[in-house]
Amino acid sequence: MACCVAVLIKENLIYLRRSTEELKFLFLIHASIDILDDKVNQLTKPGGDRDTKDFYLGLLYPVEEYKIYGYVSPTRVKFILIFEHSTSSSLKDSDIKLLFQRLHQAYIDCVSNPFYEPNTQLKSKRFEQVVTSLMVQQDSMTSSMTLSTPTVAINTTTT
Amino acid sequence: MSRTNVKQNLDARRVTQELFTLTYGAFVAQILNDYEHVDEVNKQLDKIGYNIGVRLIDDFLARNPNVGRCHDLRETADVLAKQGFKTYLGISPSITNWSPAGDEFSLLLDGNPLTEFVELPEGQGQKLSYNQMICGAIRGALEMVQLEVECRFVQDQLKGDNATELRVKFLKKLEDALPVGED
Repeated sequence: MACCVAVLIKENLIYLRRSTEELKFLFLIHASIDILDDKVNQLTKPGGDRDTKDFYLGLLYPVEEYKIYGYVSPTRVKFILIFEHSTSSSLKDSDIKLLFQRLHQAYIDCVSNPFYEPNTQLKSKRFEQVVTSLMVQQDSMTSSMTLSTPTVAINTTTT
Repeated sequence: MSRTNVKQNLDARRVTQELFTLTYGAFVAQILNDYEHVDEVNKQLDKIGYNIGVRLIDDFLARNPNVGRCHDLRETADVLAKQGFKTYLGISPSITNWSPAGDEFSLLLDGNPLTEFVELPEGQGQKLSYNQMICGAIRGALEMVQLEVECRFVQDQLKGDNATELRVKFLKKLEDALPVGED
């Protein structure tokens, strides 16, 4: 159901998968990093009124065709999901939160792999499977939406 | 200290599965870093397992006082799968594929706690026998009770097989090693 999935540590993109090879996704992700940081700072500010166990940051911002959602782990790993407007209208906040939790759990399993070097590109088959399931679920929900074949993650590092 | 107290202490000293799994994982990853060839790593893991096995057998027999002398390999396989694996890894593999001569059998491991989270690295790493330590441990332990066996993995879920199958082959009885006064 998502058309773009990204995982970041600080500003480094360690995982990216998108339904089409388009640069605009990268642009959208970079733009959302600042908003994410802002929200995280507010959340962890002393005296903040939000429950700090809640790492779902909700809708970051909507652009013409997309809605961008964010989630941050206690260790400040950022997860970003981008949905198309047409498909996300049927999605509730709680649904998206569940998607993020699945992604987070997959990330935890992936990091626990002794052969994975932390802070490097995620190249795990199991993680790919979870991401694929996040991306294709929309087919069953809205048949009008066509999804191109899954693309592989590319190595991109932002500074 | 009474006997029940000792038992309680043993239970309290348990570590979580994650710590155990991650410790073994970090350990294998480090060996893989230190040696250039995967074959060499497999050999080292086997050696480490062997050293564990020759020590562990005494502990095993002390903890399971009801285990007596085995009369044939089937009995040995039973003890190994139902008590040995149960005591130390918390799983009980099934025993299958007996050879017609009855000197070789397979242990099918399901839900191996060592391999949770693990995905073998690309390339050379695909040849890594991640669980080789178990083979070494079985070989070492059985050698201490005068059985020489050969032990290897024929299938490994980490390598994409459907099951994890461990083949144990009986080679010979080590008569020379029998202590004086036995038999």
